[in-house]
Amino acid sequence: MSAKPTAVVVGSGASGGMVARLLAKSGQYQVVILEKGSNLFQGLGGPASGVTNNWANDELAHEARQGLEDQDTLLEPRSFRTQGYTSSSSQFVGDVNTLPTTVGGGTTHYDAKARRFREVDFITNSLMRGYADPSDDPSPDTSAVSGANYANWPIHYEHLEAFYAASEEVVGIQGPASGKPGAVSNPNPWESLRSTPFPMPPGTDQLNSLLPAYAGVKLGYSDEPIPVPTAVCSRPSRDGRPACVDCGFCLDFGCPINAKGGGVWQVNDAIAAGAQLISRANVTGFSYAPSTGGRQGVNAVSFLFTGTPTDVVMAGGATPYFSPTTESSNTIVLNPANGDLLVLANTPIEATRLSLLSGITPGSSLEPSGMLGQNLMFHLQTAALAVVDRDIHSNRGRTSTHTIDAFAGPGPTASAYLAGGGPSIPRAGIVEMGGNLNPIQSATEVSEFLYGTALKAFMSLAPFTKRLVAFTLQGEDMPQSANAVDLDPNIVDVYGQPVPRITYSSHPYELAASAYYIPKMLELLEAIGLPPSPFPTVHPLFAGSLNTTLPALNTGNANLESLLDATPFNLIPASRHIMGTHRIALDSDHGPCDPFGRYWMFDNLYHAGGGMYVTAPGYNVTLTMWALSYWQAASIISGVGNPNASGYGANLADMDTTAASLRSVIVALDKNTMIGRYIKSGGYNSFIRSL
Amino acid sequence: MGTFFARIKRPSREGGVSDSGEGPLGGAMSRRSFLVAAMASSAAVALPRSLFAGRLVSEHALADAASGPTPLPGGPYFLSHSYTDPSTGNVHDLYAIAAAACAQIIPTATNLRTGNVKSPGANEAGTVNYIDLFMAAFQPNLLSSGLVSTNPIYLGGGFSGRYNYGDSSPTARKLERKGSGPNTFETSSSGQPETIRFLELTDAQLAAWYLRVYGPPSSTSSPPWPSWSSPAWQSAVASGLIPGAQPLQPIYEAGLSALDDWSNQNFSTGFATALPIEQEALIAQAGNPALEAVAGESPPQLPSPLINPVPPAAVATLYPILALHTIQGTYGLPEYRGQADVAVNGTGTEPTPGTIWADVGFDGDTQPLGNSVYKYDAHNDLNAGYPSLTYTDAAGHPQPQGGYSEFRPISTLDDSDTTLATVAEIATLFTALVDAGILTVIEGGPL
Repeated sequence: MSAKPTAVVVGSGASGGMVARLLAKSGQYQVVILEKGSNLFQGLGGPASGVTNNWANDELAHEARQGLEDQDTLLEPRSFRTQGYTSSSSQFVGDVNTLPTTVGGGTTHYDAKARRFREVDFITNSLMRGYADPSDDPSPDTSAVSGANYANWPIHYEHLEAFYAASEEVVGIQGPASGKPGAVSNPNPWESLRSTPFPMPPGTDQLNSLLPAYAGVKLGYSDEPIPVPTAVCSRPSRDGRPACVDCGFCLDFGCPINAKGGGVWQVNDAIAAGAQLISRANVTGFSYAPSTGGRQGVNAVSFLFTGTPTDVVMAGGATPYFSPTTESSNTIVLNPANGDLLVLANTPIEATRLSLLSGITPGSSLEPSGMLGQNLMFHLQTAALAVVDRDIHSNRGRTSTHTIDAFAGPGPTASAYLAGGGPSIPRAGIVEMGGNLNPIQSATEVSEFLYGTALKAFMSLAPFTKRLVAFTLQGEDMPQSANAVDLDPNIVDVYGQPVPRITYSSHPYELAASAYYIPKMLELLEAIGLPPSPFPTVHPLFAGSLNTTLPALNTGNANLESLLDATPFNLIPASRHIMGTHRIALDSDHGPCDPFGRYWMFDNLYHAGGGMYVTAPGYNVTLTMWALSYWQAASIISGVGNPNASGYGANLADMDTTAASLRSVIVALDKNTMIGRYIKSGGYNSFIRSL
Repeated sequence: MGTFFARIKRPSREGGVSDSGEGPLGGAMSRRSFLVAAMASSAAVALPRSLFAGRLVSEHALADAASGPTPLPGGPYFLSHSYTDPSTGNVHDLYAIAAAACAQIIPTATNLRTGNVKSPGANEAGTVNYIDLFMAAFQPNLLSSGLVSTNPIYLGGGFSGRYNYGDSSPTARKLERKGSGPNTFETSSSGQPETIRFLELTDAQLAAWYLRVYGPPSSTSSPPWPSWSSPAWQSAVASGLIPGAQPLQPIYEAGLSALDDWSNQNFSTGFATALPIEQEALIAQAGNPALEAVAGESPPQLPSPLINPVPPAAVATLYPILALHTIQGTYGLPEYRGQADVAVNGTGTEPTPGTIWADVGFDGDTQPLGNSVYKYDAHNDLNAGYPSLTYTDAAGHPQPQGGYSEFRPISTLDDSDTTLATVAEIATLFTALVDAGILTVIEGGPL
């Protein structure tokens, strides 16, 4: 039994990994990471260069079949309905935006784009209402978007910037911004100022991403092609993982050579610092009792263990802090008075579900805001694609190597936003460019109407494997109360627990933004090969996009078709970007969690992850999750976020000073980083003043 | 050039996933079934009345049944050579029927792009063995055979050791299976795999995949539901409220038997022994009911109309599954069909012409220094100034540290590729779908 407080972290993805890493490195906590899924890595806790894994360039195991690392929706389904559907039975049961259930979470098989939000993205509600400075906004609670709960974040870019920088170095992110701390040169005009350059330069250009990037130059969106920041090593990483070999099996595939950055490497750091990982540990609930200041204290967390001894990992073969049994439910006892805590980093939907299963009812004294599980946001992903006449080997390389940020809306500063048209320009998001279908998926897509020699002709032309340029526009979702997670009243999972029911409909705002930007995306695709492209012999044969107003497909299932008619692009939500259920706020009336992700009415219960988001700017979610997790862990380690501390209220009132206090944790725990040294030298204070 | 918005039917994905989209496109077309976009102006292209007419007549010899694949050592494990259909009492060679059907879906035929008249298909790939292994995934006869290490659901990770790049010498060819790193997919001391390494499944995975192969247990089934599973969940799965438990084994047995009977009804011979053109006619009817509406008549090139053009229900149920598995088995890693990398997937530095992946211009599985897109090059400019060191990881895999250059182009065009896809070639594939009413094209866009 450890004398240190115990920190139980549920989930081992980006958020859980970062929180666990920092709490363990601080030396203040005995960290136990509980991961529901399997562990597909061997040797965690030692040098990253010595870690092996079970990943392979295997389309069957990771794309064509129920994915090896994915949540199996036959065992653990979700249910879905659109807003206004009042029947107790759901409209759809199956995969509704599930994420991988495995050590490392979604970051095991994502394509690792790592984007910061901009200054404007934290204060958009006031900006949309014409106020460049949110402190001038007389009615900050007034949503700028009718029918939505649009709001400013309680923290701003300048508060989070150092944590973005720290995350980029810890994770190992490649990108184009270069130079040195305080003197960074960034070719992307749409990004906010950065204190430090990327720790790695961009990797090899991928032709089907580079071609439309030059089209973007042609159309004036940038002066040069902009490499997209990506959590994939372009050089050996600081923890000894190799550079990417651009094998082409990126999105949907784990990396056989460990070049892909992700939560598992923070878990690895955590284990090396003394944390314990238990995989195949399905947390079924937690209990609590009245604590201090009218709040509750979590005093136990229970889980089912279906693993073997190899699922219990401590560094160096040390004696496990907790030895689970498969014979019965396991319980880790927590003592709030000792500083023990519980972090739910198991994705917003599952964290909501676990909270509901544990008796936290939105709107009750345990959660006065009533927003737990609400304001659920995905990204409306508008796709466009072109097929070109040359073989551009779309199947090789990372999924996407370049970006166009112009469709995220004016910015990156408040003044640029207002000068650039303000709310008259719809906010959508970044355009991810690249993509391909591997052979099984290519053939499967057309198998319903092609077979035989026609199928072979199609496959030999390989339009989707070798000649594809695909766009995904990450469209900002509006937060809506009716978009929510609750417990399905009728359906349970294989373990007998009610499954999450997702209620979701798109807001007219994002649908209009999609329609606004589709012609612009098509224009980009049509401009492939035009000057200044260095590949003038490549020409698009055709280009097209999804249209939001088309009727549902003929699936042969009338009920499903009726449902699909009510959803954009006639699809069940599948963005894999999940935000909003645990909105952070400055008081308990405006969100379930405080600015550090702590449940307002609990001393020691946190959510770490995309659920903390107030809004969903059209950027990939993971880097901001990392930064917020670092921020959260820093608030715990420093005591700044301790609700029982006398200075807690003042900390919320003066976020600038609070952020400065939290930055000291970066210096303490990641001193051998550019940002750590920059903060310690005092140079960072000058940078902050320039924002 | 015009741009269009279009929508098209999408097939379901293996594993019980519905027609809902899945996975972000994220700049890549992932598992999500995307809705196919436009085609160029069809008015510019003169097209045959129906592409299907061309599909029904292959001007190139199709592999006949005599040259079809053979079962794996100890097999077939599920697709019996003498299966007795309990509903009819008829005896069917399921293996031969399935092999012939797979060969119709992905035939041996001319590759219109490369001109290879013997472009390999399901026969050369041995695709039927993929189905046989998959369906037998839980059968004691397979699991005790030594052919697979455990249930053949997920191939063990790591590398195949294919194609020791940059060296086509006989020595390298002998070492091709080892490549520059160990082949972790299988054990072998000769050209064929001895034991293919699959990942051990967890109890939960075993339960889920068992349901996918056998369907929900009945009151007399063995094994029954997992003891640790919720009765409420069991009921939901059995009723279909929770989708995904699909009795694939019974579907294959009933469907292949019915296909054989249907062939006998129409041609007085079983499916495997029917003429290729007869086999193709039945496959066309089985999978494409819209075809009949387009043609308005029986398929051409047959001496007389089909006696019974309507596919039996069991055949209609089987076809999409069979098509999906044929694709998976042909284009997936060959270890899933019990094959090593030889013959079908080439030798030496590159997949040789005529091999499955080469036929579709795909590199196949890649790994450091094996079938890789990179090669060591201390003097290249991709990683200027970076030391060209390598190290070997704990599994014995050489890992590149830098100082490498593109062995296969990523950032540039492949100048050796002079094949241009044309509007006509791609438009051909889509126009017929418009004619069939499968594809709806809505002209739009400002361009």
